[in-house]
Amino acid sequence: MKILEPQKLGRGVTIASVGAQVGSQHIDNETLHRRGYPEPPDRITRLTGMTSRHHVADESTSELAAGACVDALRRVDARAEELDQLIVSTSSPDRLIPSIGSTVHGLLGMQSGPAHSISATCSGFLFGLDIGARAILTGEEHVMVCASEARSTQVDITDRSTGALFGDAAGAALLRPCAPGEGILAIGIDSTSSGEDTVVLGRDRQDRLEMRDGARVYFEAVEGMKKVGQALLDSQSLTWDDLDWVIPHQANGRILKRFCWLAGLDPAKAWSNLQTHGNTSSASIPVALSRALAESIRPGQLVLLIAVGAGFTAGAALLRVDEALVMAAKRALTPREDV
Amino acid sequence: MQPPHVHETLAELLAELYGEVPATDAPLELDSFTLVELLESLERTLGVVITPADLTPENFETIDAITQLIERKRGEP
Repeated sequence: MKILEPQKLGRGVTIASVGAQVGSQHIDNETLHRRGYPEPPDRITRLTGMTSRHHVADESTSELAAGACVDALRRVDARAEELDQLIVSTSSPDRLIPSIGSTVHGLLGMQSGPAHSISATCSGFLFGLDIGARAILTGEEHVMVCASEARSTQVDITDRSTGALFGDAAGAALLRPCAPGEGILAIGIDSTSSGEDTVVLGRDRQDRLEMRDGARVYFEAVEGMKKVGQALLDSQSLTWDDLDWVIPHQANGRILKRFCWLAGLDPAKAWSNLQTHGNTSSASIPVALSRALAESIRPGQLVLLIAVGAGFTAGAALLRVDEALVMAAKRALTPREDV
Repeated sequence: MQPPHVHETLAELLAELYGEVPATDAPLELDSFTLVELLESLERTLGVVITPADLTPENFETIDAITQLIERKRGEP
């Protein structure tokens, strides 16, 4: 696993603000079943831990992304013109060309600066965080890392293995320099091709996401999160008990429960909005972080972000949260009840 | 206290999930949700931990095959 430790480079990078936006349609299990998902509502909850999720209506992945970026910017009175770089993670872009980065660049009104997209499936935000942190560490001042997904547009709602799992949302984190040893303490990312046939989506518009081996994904996801988390903690001479919060990729309720069990993590420390948001792929961590900062995380606390995605990809990031980030998240700019 | 018998426990769990117990050598057609539910229940009831390496099709073809897998895992240090 590749581990980035800003302090070892004599510099620091922090998350200054986090923003989020969710799809405009609230879809509860009853609605999902009525629209064709084969299992009844109570069984959906039992299988997934979800009671509702948000789907896009007619908004695009790039519009969700821009909404989350604007939310992050407004929380610290920053402007899109100040951004040195924009990174957008997605595996559900509006189009293959141009890059969603270019589209969001335009929606935000950025005047210059590179914007691009990355795809590392559900670990995409953490891969973006790694790229963004490296940009800050080499001299950039304001880097936006966004993850945006409209997975519902790629799923067959009648498919028992995928139709209930996914929600649509975007989350964005504004990165800035900070003092060494503060903010992001370490980021680790890794990949393997061992799961390349387990979750698949072709590139034709009519293709739908296929979960070809859901049981394997379940077990690999838990093992992968435990492994990448343990490696990052070991690199910092920390244990799971040292963490105040873990924000795991919100895959499904069973995966989160098993992850806590195998890692020996107190389930009360695993922050989740899965019940009301579903699995929003690479957006799930920043969306959950946005809410967790507003509701639960206190200044000075140690937070681990952790994900595994199809392929497989894996990532983890360790943050020491400062007061400014918590204050930005608590700032009442937009209605927060839907995020 | 005697540890729970794998075969009986498995039959009870399958009865819960299916409403009936298939023959021990009959092919099991488990979709991924059902397989995950079954394996979680086995882990909880029998005190084993399933790993990704255990997830070969052969290990889940029949009740007999699952029983052998769990017995092997219980014998592991």
